[in-house]
Amino acid sequence: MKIIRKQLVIFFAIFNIFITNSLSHEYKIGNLKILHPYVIETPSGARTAGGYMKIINTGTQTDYLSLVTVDFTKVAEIHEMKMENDVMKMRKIKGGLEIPAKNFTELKHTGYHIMFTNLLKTMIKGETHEGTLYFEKAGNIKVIFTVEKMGFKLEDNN
Amino acid sequence: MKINSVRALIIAGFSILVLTLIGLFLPAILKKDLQTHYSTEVKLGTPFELTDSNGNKITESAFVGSPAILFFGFTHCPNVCPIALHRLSLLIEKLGKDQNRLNAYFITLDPERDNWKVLNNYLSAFNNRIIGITGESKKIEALAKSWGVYSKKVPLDGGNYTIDHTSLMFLLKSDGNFLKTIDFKDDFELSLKEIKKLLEF
Repeated sequence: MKIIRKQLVIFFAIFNIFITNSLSHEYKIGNLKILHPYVIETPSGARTAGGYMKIINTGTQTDYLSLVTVDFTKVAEIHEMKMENDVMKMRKIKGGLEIPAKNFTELKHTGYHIMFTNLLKTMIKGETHEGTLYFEKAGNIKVIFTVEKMGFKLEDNN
Repeated sequence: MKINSVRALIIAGFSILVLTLIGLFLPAILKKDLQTHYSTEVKLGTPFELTDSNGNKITESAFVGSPAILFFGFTHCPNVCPIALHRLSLLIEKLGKDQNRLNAYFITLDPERDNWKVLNNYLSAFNNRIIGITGESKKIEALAKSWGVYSKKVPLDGGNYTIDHTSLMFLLKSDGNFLKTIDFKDDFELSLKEIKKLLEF
């Protein structure tokens, strides 16, 4: 009886770790760590979605995110959103998104983001999509973009 | 040497006098300036005849009778518009029963791509009190301009474009006159307070 109880405790402990890990996923390539790539669910018929994640560079050399491809559209650009006098401005980043050495870059709702346009489908909460991130130095890595509910922010969940 | 010191003293004394006078009158001058810029009776808006997201004709009279919130944006907007509309939905829901006394309008700055059916579909993801407004480009431009809303098309790759635009929400009293703006980045509870206050007008 005691042994079974102990086994149960261990089982739940492992189960718990599994659950918490699945809430945020991460990847590693070279000196880069990529935290929780995601898009926000889109209103029906929307042709545009933003892609977000946090990229940590533990190395001593600056790297650049130069390209992103995904399975739900052919058009993905890296953009910067800026607020100037209450005006929202969006610009394409030229020469790749900088991931400074010994530092991190966060792609978030008001700032850098991946701009997916011409969506081939609506982004539905809970679904996942495949994508590839291409870094100038670290190379490329396949990642999964989760679809999060409206209002979700990685910075609130970290 | 002595004459020089006396002159220096006179200059210093005079300077102090001038600075003191400026110091005394500056707040009054600034205050006057602020008052003229932030008058509560700012006349914004213009008459219009456009189409709402149900395909019906809509005019400026829709902004009269109940307090209203206006937000200008476009459905191809990846960040700010869905965030702002989502927040507006949450704010409206927080009003409970009182939400029936509030109208909310999402005015597209991209009428070429956002016809009323596109708006209807898009807005189904948000609170159903938010009604879309679209129509002829020139009329939309005139309406946006009358609210001091800046919007500018910016070309993207592959013939696409995005639109830089003012992302403030305009609060209108039930007489259709402008009360104040709120920002989607403002504290949520603060915005809720402002909207509850708006319901009193």
